[in-house]
Order: sequence, then structure tokens, then C-alpha cells
Amino acid sequence: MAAHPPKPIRVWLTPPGPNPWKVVWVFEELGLNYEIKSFRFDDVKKEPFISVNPNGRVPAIEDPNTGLVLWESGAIIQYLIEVYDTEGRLSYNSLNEKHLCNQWLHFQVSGQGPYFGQVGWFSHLHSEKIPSAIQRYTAEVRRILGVLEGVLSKKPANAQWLVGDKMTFADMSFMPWNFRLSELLGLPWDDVWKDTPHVRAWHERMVALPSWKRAMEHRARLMDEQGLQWNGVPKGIDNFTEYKSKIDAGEDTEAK
Amino acid sequence: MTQPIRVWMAPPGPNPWKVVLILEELHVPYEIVSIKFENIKTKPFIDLNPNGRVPAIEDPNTDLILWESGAIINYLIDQYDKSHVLSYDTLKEKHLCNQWLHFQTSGQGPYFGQAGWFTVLHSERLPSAVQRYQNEVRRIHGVLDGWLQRDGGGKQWLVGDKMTYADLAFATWNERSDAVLECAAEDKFRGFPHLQAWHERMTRRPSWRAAMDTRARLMDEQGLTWTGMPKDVRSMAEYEARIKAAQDGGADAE
Repeated sequence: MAAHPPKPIRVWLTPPGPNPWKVVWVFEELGLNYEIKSFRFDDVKKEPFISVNPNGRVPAIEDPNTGLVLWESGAIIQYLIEVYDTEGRLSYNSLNEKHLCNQWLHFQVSGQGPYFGQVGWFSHLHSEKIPSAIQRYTAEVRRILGVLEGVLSKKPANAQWLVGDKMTFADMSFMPWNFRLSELLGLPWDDVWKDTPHVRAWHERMVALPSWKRAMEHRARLMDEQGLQWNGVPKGIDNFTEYKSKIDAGEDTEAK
Repeated sequence: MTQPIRVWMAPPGPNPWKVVLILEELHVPYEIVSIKFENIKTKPFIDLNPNGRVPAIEDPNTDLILWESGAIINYLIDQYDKSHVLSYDTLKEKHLCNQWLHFQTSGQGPYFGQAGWFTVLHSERLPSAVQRYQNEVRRIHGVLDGWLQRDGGGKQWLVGDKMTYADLAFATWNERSDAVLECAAEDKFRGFPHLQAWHERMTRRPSWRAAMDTRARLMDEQGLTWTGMPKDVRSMAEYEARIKAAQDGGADAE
């Protein structure tokens, strides 16, 4: 069977964070021809990547089939869906459903991702431990999970998805950050999900998909290739604080 | 004949006004339902948006209820900008506009918002948190200023050669740069002249004036000063207590 699209779409990523894997997962679900360009987090705001994305954040894609270079995971997903999900496997063509999927995607990129990210920052990366900041963002994580639980619990049992009765890119967009909840909150999974059974079931249905497993296998290989531990810190460096100070000082952080 | 789109908002924040700017520029009829900030996570608004954030719209022409300012903008452009006054119909330009919109909603708004939170609203003054977010505000200014200098300079807009919804999306938060950076108004874009010129190209437009005049009226109607604090509240602690009382009492509490 011919590769689709004919020329592979290149995905620029640094493997540790969740956002690139949102995009890789869509590639895997749609069976698209793509290739990963993996580089080190230390270089995310330097050449050559800064010429691909002047904002210096991953992921970004280059599609040689259309000549488009695009960054922002949400915009990339909308592009892939419009151009390559012509059968509507992960989307709807009807007006209202199309925009409702988009609404959830915007909630994910602006209202879930950044807040989950601040929990990670203040818990693991900030120069000092500030309980009130950690508490602010942890409370927001709990609130977001409550919103998702409220919505899913009101849906029919056979339509446990955010829009309509099938998994769409809207559902998928939430999963990579939710996949980090145990480490973000420092809790076992039973405690993470204790108040949100519908969210748990929805999440676990998606985690079980072969497409996600393949994405995570790619990630594990690329983390290992860069000598990174599970949490993104290079082997041989103790913790994030030490890692960040080495990056800021321009030191070589290659695993020894 | 287009029936007016209903825009639900609490007037203080910047995101509802992004949507109003688009509606003004496209000359789409709309009406505003202005609610108090204390009530955004209670009925009736929580029934429209379970996430309890503004803005949300109800379009009687399509029976669609939609929240998230970015998704609302995508919808308004899709439905009401058929002649591409604020958008493109070519594949690459269309998606590039969307890319900048996503940068605005996920990479500008939330970080300016955290800067605002830690400078004004947080329970304690945390210099390292304030610095983190103020640094990010300045970094974002630099990215925008740098992009507007592309191809040898002289670029007026983010995508192609006309103003689009992508440019307008940044304006309402950028206008607040002095508040979140705690600097004088004339210093809000200091060091970033291309950013400043671009921003002022938008704030000179009648759509901006119309939106800000409406905002001033709605703030006054709710007895709020320009900062969003009630005129009769003397401190943030008092304001938070009032908000909590409203949430505990449900929608009846005023």
C-alpha cells in the first residue's frame, strides 16, 4: 500500500514533554507517513529550531506535500484533521460538532496544558519550593478533572466521549497531559482518579489503544537515545534544579 | 437577516473583548449578557459553560452554544467571514493564522494571566514567581517584535499583508502589558518598537474604541473601577471573601 501522504511529514520534538506526543499519536491513529526529528531540550530556543519556530516551543511540523511549516500542537492537530482526516475518523463535518470539538481542543491547549505545566514547574523545576504556588495549580488540576467528570458523567453510557459518540481529536488532546498526573501530583493512580471514575474510564480506554502504545515506544527510545531518565533529566544529573542551572550556565549536559 | 449573537461575559478580563473586536470588525450583530465575576462558576452561566470561564456565545442562527475565545473566533470566521476580510482561504495562510491564534490562547494569555495573578491577586508577594512570568511576558514581546521584522522588515501583520483575526487576538492582553509588568504605560513595549507600532495600528481602529467604550460602561454598571475591583471594596482579601460568599450562597447572592 502506498505511503500516505507520499512524502513523510517531519515532526520536530524534544522527547520529554507531553505536547509532541499529542501530535505523534494523531499521526499513528490516522496511519500517516511521518518521521521524527528529535533534538535536545537544551536547544529548543536555538538554531536550527528557532528558525522553524521563532517561539522556540515543540512540536513543529514541516509538510513537504503542501510546503507548510507549522507550530502549536493545537494548530497542527487542526491542520492534520482538515487535510488528512477526510473520512472523519477522528472528527465531524457537521457544523456544530466540528466547532464543539474545536472548543474542547482550545480548552485543552489553553486551560489544561499550561496549568498542568505550572504544577510540574513549581513542583520540580522552580528555584525554590513555594507551597502556595504548588497549591494554586494543584487545585486547578483538580478543578479541571472535575469539569471533565461533570461533562462525561452526564453523557449516555454508550457515548462516553466529549463530542458525539466516538473518540475525536478533542478527547485525544487531553490524554498526554493526563498521562502525567501520577507524577505531577505525586500520587498513585487510584488516588489521582478517586473522585472522577468517568474520566478514569475514558482515559484508560485511550491509553489502551495500540496507536498510543506505539507513540510511547517511540518516546522511550528517543529518551534513551539522549540518555534521559524517565523524568527528562539527563542520567548523571540528580534533579531538575541542577539540570536547569547547567542549561542556564551553558554547560554541557550530555549524559556521561 | 442575521439574528444577534449573544456574548456572555464578565467585563473586567481581556478575553471577551477579543471576541467583541472580531464581531465589530465583521459587522455581525451581537448583544452582551454581562455577569459579575463572582458568578462565573455558578448558575446560570455554569450551565452554558461547565468550565465556568468567559466568554461564551449563543448563536440563535445555528443553535450553537460555544465557549473558549479561540474556538469562538474560529467559528465566527468560519460562519461570518465568507469574504475573508480578517482571514485567508488559501491553505497555508489559513493554518498560519490559526497557529498564531493558538500561540495567543495557550502561550500568551495564560502567562500574562499568571503574571497578573502573582503581581496583584495572590495571597502573598512571591518575587521569584512574579519574575518567572514577567520574564515570559517580555520573551513573548520579543518573539512578536522579531517576527514583525521578518523578510528585511516592514511587515505590518503576522500573516501575509493584511490584518487578520490572528493579529487582533493578541491586542487585548498586550494592552495590559503595563499592568502585568508593573511599569508605566509608555514603557509597556519598551525595546520592542515593531510590536508597539503593530499594536497601535489595531488600537487606533473604531472597533477598538467601540469595544473599550462598551467595557467602560459595563464596568461602571457593575460598580467596578477600571482594574476590575468593586468601587466599595478596600482590599483583595475583602473581594475574595465576597466572591466566596457568592459561591456558597449560589446565584442568589449578589
